[in-house]
Amino acid sequence: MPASIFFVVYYFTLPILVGWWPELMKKPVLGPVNAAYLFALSEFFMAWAIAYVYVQKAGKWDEQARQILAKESSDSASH
Amino acid sequence: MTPAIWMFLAFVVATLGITVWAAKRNTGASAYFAAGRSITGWQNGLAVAGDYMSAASFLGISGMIALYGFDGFMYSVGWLVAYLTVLLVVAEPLRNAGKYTMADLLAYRLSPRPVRAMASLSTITVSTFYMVAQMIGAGALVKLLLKDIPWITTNTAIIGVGVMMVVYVVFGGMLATTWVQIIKAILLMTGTIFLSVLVMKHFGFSFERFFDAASHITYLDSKTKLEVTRNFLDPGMKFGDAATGGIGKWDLVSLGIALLFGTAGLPHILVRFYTVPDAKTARVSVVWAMVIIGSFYILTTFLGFGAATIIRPDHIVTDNMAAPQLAETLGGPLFFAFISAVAFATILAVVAGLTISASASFAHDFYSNVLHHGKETNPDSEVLVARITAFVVGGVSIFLAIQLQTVNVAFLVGLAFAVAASANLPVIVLSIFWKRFSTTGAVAGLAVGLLASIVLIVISPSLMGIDPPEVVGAKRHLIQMNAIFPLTNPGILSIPIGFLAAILGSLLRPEPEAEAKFEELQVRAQTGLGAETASSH
Repeated sequence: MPASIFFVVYYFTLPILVGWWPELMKKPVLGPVNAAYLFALSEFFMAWAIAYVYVQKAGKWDEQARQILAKESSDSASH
Repeated sequence: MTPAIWMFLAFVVATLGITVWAAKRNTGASAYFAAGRSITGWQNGLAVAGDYMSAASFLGISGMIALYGFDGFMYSVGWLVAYLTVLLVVAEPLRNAGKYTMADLLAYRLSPRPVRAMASLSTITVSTFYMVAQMIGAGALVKLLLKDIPWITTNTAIIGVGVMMVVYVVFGGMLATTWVQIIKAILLMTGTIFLSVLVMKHFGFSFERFFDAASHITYLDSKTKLEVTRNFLDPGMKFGDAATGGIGKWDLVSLGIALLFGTAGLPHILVRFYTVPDAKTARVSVVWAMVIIGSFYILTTFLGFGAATIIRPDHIVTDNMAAPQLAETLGGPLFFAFISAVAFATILAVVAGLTISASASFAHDFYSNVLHHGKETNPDSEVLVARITAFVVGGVSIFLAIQLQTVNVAFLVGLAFAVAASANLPVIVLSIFWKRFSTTGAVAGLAVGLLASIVLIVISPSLMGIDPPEVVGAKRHLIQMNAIFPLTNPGILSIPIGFLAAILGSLLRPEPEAEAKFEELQVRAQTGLGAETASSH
């Protein structure tokens, strides 16, 4: 849930910065490459990072779910 | 015969072969609608990526960057980050709670008939807009590239594409269309990587020289007819205040919202999650898709800036032709033929995917569940209805594409995204996460979202405007009036309206049965208990 809020905020920062502060974003940072391009590029890495973290977390939830389901069926079997 | 024609033919033969192979394996409804749930994680990742890397991405974005610089890249960012919405919110619950279509998830808790009817309408609307756009694009592309053959006109090209697509879908079902997507995705990535390498080779493999060149491009501005030098790395050429009189940045935000939320509501993407055996595979496939799509989009900046620096924006025929022209300049006619054939394959595969999701929705949601209460029909007649629907849908979209062949395709695709985000997404999200979501809410959300986005687009500058008399034909706005709604993308308004309608509808007419089933849905959606599993053959 917090990850969802984070990526939405991070994502919208780009059009807002570019739309309302274009002169700032035009500043060259790495040689001729400007802040805008680098920030846009960072969005890709941000997305990949969050996807990776999610997959790790989801694996853990899968394990928890498996344990809960196994417990439930063994409980009902013993009745 | 030119190399382009040979490449087209080779592709057509190969994909027809796949269709025949798939037709033999298509025994049963699960096979036709969901490829027997036999697709693995990386395969589905490629298929989803393929579905997504449409002509709009490959030709459209590289073309937009070639003509407008950085602003084109904003589309790429939106389209990639949108997959986080899919991954974190929608993919797994959808796979666990449904069978063949998006409406399955909605019908889990809510009264099935009205919900399925509305969802079917929305799915068919979104798919039709998307599809007609792709077919218009295909027609124009084929006509331009095979222009040496006298009987290829835009109309015959559109008909040809439509017929081929109907054959794939009617006989090959989801299995054929999935594999066509996979192969196309591989070809597209290969072609793009190769083209990017050629671009960098032109600059001696120096990123510094590449970006330096992009920062001052000299060309003839088409509006002022003066030679100008511009920095293509700068934002603002398309959405900036100077270009749009101050409204551009709002349009950019609106577009951003539509892109971010639209993907998770696109029926033809969502339906791909039913082709894998379980939710975990669905999750893996989204990640694979994100890696592929993300890399692809980064590469398109090289294609776009490459075209701008090597060919110059004034020498690019139309913005959709930037990438093929770059291929021709750097790789000669053979590479041009390859890229064009791949672009064509792209369109064909996407159109097939759209058709199958629309016809599946009609057969499964409307025919089986609305008309026949989900009782009497056996799975085989469901498949038959889907095949017939595909035929009809193919015919209708051929007709519409021919009628609308001069309409801007990016506008049509944008419309599809806006509708998906305003009508489908609020309903899907609320169904999974809100206990008090009711049938009235779902119907209201779908209907109002659909209506709001369409109305806002009709009164937008895309369709409304007053043109001076020298602007003629296709370039004239459809409605000669000053636009009432100033943004070209309705997202910023229509999406909240969709959510609001869904929430209000639920609060006004609550449904205890739906609330009672919420926990059951939660368990099933999050753990996969009771989900549809892979078929044994």
